[in-house]
Amino acid sequence: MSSKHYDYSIRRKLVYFFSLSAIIALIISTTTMLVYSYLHEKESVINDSIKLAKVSGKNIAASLLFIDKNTCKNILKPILNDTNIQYIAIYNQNGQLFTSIGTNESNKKTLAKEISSMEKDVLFSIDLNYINILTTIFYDNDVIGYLEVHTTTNKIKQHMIEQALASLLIMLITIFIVILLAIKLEKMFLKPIFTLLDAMQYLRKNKDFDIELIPSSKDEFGELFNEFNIMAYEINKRDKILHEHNLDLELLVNTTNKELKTTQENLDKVSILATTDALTNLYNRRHIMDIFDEMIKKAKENKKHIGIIMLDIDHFKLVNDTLGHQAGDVVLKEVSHILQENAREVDNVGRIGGEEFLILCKESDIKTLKYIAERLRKNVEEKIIQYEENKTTQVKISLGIYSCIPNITKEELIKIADDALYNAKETGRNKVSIGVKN
Amino acid sequence: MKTVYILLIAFIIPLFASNQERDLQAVFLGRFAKFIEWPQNNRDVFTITLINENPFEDLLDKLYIGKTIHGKKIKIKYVTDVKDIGLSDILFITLDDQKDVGKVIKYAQKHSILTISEQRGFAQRGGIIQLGFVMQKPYLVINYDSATKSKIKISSSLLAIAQDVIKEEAE
Repeated sequence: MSSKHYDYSIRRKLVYFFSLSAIIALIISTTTMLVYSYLHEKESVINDSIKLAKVSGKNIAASLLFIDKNTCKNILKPILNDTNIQYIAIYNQNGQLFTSIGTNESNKKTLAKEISSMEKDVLFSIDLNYINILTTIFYDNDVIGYLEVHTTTNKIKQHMIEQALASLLIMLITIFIVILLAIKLEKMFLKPIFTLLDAMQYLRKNKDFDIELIPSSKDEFGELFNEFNIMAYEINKRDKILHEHNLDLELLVNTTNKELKTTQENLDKVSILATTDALTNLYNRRHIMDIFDEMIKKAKENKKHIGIIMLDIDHFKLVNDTLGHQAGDVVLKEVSHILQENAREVDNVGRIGGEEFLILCKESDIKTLKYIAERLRKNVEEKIIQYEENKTTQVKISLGIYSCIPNITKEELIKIADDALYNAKETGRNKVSIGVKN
Repeated sequence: MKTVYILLIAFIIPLFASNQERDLQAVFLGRFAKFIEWPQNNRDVFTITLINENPFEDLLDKLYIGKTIHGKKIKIKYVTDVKDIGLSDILFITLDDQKDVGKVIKYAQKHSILTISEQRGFAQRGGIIQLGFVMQKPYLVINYDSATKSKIKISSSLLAIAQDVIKEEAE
């Protein structure tokens, strides 16, 4: 069966299978029957000829022994009424033709020449059209002559044709019955298969394993249905367990997510705490120094300016001493707020000491730097700070600035800016002083 | 016409029997035995007797001595008188005198002897087989009634080749 045939429907397969089996069986049986029939008919014709020779031998014995050809012919003539017998020849003891009747259509195949070498009482030759039989004629236990009969194979052919036709008819009837049987079997086999198929499609579409097939028979299909039911039950049971596990897992995931979120928030808080100053929310010293390192590195690479503003609040100790530490903290917060608000977006503002601040300005030459510093100073100076209800104060700041394409260390840069700040303090405070590289 | 032809043949046969026909006649004497059934007897020889002349010379001796018919050794006997016939199975008659022929036939009927002769009218006179030849082919007249009187049974096969069978019932 080729791969194409595997795609045929079961019905076609059944019809093919049964028809083929029936045809093969019938061909074998018909062939066997025809061969048997042929052999049987051949045997029958030979036996008939032997009987004929025996009977004729008695009847024609006298005419043969007393050389009466006419009587011999007359005795034999009725035998030719059998249209299958075409030719009869009588030979004397010496094998010479005594007389013959009928027509020797198969003249060349006469067996007369075999008489001299005849070892058995009967000889025969057979071809498609004739069976030629040569038998010895005995009378009173003596060989008195030989009888040759040529019989056509028409009777055998006719019989075989009849048998072949009968076989063909039987074959057709059998094939018809086989097809009916195949259709019946198809229903018998396919109904449970389709039921199973429907159930499987239902499972696939609806994911509903709470299903049960009722077996209609106790055969293999019944077992298949039972196994299907067990499978569906097991899957259903497993699904329920999985569903429960899923719920637990979801709960676990949600909880974990929340915990992770909390942890992340805490981490963020820690991170902020680690990088910012708790009071002012500005970068703390360590973090602004890290940023400073990074800015110097980039400015060196890009050969760009970097600007530094160092500032502190003038007479801040006096604020603490006269207004209290709480007021000092408010002042620090307010100043930090002004610095943050008035610096540029790209600038980094950090608190590096009690009242000391550092502002790092990206790509800023001294002119830009001075402009920013003055703006800061002015805004702080103008700011009225309320440190308690109905209690206000004002502070000022001194600033040291420096800008360069960095070819010196961070510490040297800070020193230059710090020196400039010192200079601003020394020269009257509330002012901006530009640093100089020594 | 057929009767005239038969009568003509019957006259000619004895007069012109050729040597070949004589040979056939000798062979046929023995062959007749195959188609004849004699009453049971205890004889251990099968006797062929020739009465009167012997037209076969030594041919019968050559053909039959040392051979058997119906399992019995063949004996050839030549006699001239009816008294000498004795116990025979086949009697070939060449007598010319019809009176003598009648006596022989009577004797033969009494002793169940198959009588054969080539004489014309032999079967009509009570002989059993009249054996003649026409164109070297056998011409047989069989007296069935005579055979019956002699308690001899003749095979239908032999009767079938007879040109004439004398049988009262048939007539």
